[in-house]
Order: sequence, then structure tokens, then C-alpha cells
Amino acid sequence: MTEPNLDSKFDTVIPTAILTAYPRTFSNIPYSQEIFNEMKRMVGNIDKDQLVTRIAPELEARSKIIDRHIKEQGATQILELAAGFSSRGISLAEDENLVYVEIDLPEVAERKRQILHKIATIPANLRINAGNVLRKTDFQHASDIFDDNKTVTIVNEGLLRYLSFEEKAVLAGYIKRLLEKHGGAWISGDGATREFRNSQHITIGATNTTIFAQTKSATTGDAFQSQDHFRTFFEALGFTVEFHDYTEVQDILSSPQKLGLSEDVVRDKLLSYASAVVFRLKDK
Amino acid sequence: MKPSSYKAVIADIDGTLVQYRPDLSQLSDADALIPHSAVQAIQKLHDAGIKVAAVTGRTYEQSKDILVKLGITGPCVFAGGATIRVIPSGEILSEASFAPEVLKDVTEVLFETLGADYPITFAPAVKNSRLSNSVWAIINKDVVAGILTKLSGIEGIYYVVNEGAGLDTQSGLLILSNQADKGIGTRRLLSLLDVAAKDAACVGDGANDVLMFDECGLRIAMGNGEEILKQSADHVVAAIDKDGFAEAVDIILDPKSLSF
Repeated sequence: MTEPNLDSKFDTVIPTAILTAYPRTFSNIPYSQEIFNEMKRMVGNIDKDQLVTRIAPELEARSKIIDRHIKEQGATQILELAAGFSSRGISLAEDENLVYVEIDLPEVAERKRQILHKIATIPANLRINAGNVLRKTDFQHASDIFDDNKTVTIVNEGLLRYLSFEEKAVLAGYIKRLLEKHGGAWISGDGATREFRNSQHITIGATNTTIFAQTKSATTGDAFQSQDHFRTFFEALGFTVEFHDYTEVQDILSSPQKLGLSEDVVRDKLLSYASAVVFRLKDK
Repeated sequence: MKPSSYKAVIADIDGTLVQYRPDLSQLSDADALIPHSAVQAIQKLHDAGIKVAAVTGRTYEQSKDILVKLGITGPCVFAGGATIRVIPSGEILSEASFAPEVLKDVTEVLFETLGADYPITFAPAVKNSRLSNSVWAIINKDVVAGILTKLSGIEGIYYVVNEGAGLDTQSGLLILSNQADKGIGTRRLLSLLDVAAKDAACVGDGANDVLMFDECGLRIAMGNGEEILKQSADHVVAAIDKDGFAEAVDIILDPKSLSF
């Protein structure tokens, strides 16, 4: 049996990442299986009975609806916030005309690089930055590579909902300044659902050990109670807000068939989880 | 001074030896978290020939640097009792992980309640193809009851909610296998140290330290501790920011002070 490296200071990252990487292996998202296999190799043999699959359609839909809107943007410069172990960067950077920058906390970014080195050649147009998206200098450093004469598309999955309202406003401020400079759009998979449907949007904490380890103070994650609430909040910060249900990509999901889930069950899961949002600057 | 009658001191870390900080991974700031008085007090215990060990909810990886800075080496209990590992080698002396189907059930509850990307620490297990031996998350107080209701339907787990200093609107939720808690961990640790329960003194601040208290002859609660722990204590000392651990060590080292 392969034993993990006992001295690894990152090994609280990988078990957690495995639990969200496994459901993605039921999709046809590029590199999902390879990334999971590499994580598994890092921790040694694991019993698959302990891994969950239930959330696979939601994660696949979130990834694919964001991909769809990136394509619609015609994006050539992309900044993915708190990218985690997403394979979008390595996949889209196969297009040499595109610049893709990811930013996540140092321990995650370093593990990500290790994994990608094992499964592919990291191209020069993919940059994996270590940093905290709520820290202005880290955010600016991540975006300083972009050509001033081209638009930028900012992307995030699974980040926004864990921030307090104050943190959401701070992040939106950084993004606004970037879009003012370049033009473009911000695409998020973390929008409120059409109705307040389940516990996903209850108020939850943002202080944590993985995403904002460098945030100094305890903060409270604040949830939007409705799409109107969500829209009002971001419009006040200078954005237009366009919601897209995850069901828009239901017909291209592969995980429901593998998991034997009916269309109705999947539809309800997708509508309950979140919506995608395309933000643009007002008056642009 | 007459020698202390205690052969070992078992101490919690956060809120006891170091200032509590929810962002546990920020160990680069370890120096700033450690009261100098705690380092001096541990040295006094070493000088008196008394063994010192930690029993903590932190993982080994989250604890190693800080314990070395405190001057604590040798076997300690981590992940709320799930593992006993040696500082600084990392050698594993004991591990109690979740059964596979139990971890799956726990993960489903947390993913469905908090979301798949919520910052949850699944502490790594090492043995028997298991993925994790404990789960830690900081959650808002208003969702605690809902999560506990769901967790109560899962057999094979033990969970505890900490309301310690540093947590205002939030709580720390620790979930373990039911084969692990701070009491079980302390018992195994004392056995490894070859110290009888009556010869062990312990110091803590959290609700989960009550089980540690049950295994020790002398129980000292920090002034910043939770009320339930103070009620179980033989002594309540000053808060951590008032050198409470050093005060506890003075009590342990001075038998005359034990006339309660």
C-alpha cells in the first residue's frame, strides 16, 4: 500500500479536495478523472465507499454553465478566483491565444501545480498564482499580466456565497476596477436561486482554514435571500446582473446518466443549488 | 519546595497554551500567539521532571510548529482524540478513523447543508485506506442546530460544538469517529506515558475538554473557558491573556496550593 508523505503540510488540503473531486469524475469535464487519480495517489489507497456522488450534477452544471458563458464572451484573458482544483485553466489554455490566470491560497496553488505537472504540460499561457483574492495586492498581482487593450473575463465557482456582505463588496470593488480598465464581464456560479429553496443559502460562516487563511478577523458569511436581494446588492456596487439557471445546461450533463438520476430529480437539484450570474459594469 | 505529586501535565492548545485563532492554518504567526509565560511555565515543568503533552482538536500538521515553539515534544493527542502522534517525528502511535460509510454520510450532511465548497477541514487519516479521521468546520451559530439534527441520525460518530474564546457569532464543529474523543485520547496518551490518571494534571478551556478532565487527577480550567468546563474543574485560573497557564503550572508545582 502506498503511504502518504507524513511530513506533508498540505495533507489537510488533499483529503478535502478529493471529496469534491470525486463527484466530478462522473462528468466528462476534461481532466476530472486525471486530477482525482493524482490526488488519490498523493494520499495512498482509499476506500471508495467513503466518497460521495450525490452532488455530481450540481458541480458539473456549475462548471459547464460558466464554460458556456466564457465562450459567449469570446474571452481571451481570464482570471479565475479561488480556482481550487478546477481543470478549466489547463483545459482552456490549450488555446495558445488565450491567457488564463488562476489565484488561490498558497497551499492549494502549490498542490495544484504539482498535480498539473503530473498530468499535463503546464503551458506558458496558464499562470497559477498564490494569494488571497481579498487582498488587494494579491488581486492586482494576479491581473497585471493582462494586455490593457483586451477585455478580461473574471470567473469564480463556489466562493461568493461564503463571503460576508462586506467581503463581497470588497471583492466586487477589485473586479469593478479591473473591468473599468479592460472591459469584459464577471461570471459567477454562485448566484441566488429564483426562490429561496433550500439550506444552501442559509447564513454561513466564512472564517475558515482553507480559503481565507490569511484573513485576520472572524467574519460572517452573509446569504442573499432572493435574486432581487442579490441584484440590488450588486447593482448598488455598479454592476448589471444577469441570472442563468443551471438547468440551461442540463441537456449536456453526463453525470445524471452515469448515476441513474431522472430528469425531474436533476432539474430540482439544479434549481435548488444556485444560479450562474453574468455581471457587467453599468453604463458600459 | 516539595516536589509536585504530578508526573504529567496534559494541556489543550487553543485558548489554553496559545491565544485562540479560528484560522488555524496561520501557523506562521505562531510566535505572536504564544504567551511567553506559557513557554516559561513549560520549561519549569521540564525542570521539575514532569512530562508535558498536548491534547488538541488541531491536526498534527496544524500543531507541530507551535508545539515545538512551546517546547513540547513526544506523544500528543490530535484531531480531538482521533490520533496520537509524536512531535516532531510524526510517528503515528494510534489512529481512530471514520468507517467509510460513516464518512460518506457525514460528508453528505455537510455538503447538503453548507455546500460542496464550504471550507471544511477533513483531517487526513493514514491507515487502512481511510480518508479522514476528523472533520472540523467553523459555522454560524444559527445553523448549528440544523446540522446537529442531521448528524444525530448517523451512527458511529461523536461530535462536539465549541463556543470558545475568539468565536463570537460562530461555533467550532468537530466530528469524530465514536472510537475517538479527548477522553479516549487522554487515556491512551497516559498509558503511553506510563502515568496513572491520579498522577496527571490537565488544563483546558473548551467544552470538549470535559472528557479530558474525566481522565486526570487534577483539573484546571482557564478563566476564558466555557462554563461547563469550569463547573468540572478543581481550579479556575486567569484567562490566557492574563497568564492563566502559568498560574495553572504554579498550582501543579506547589502541593500546598492543593488544599481544596
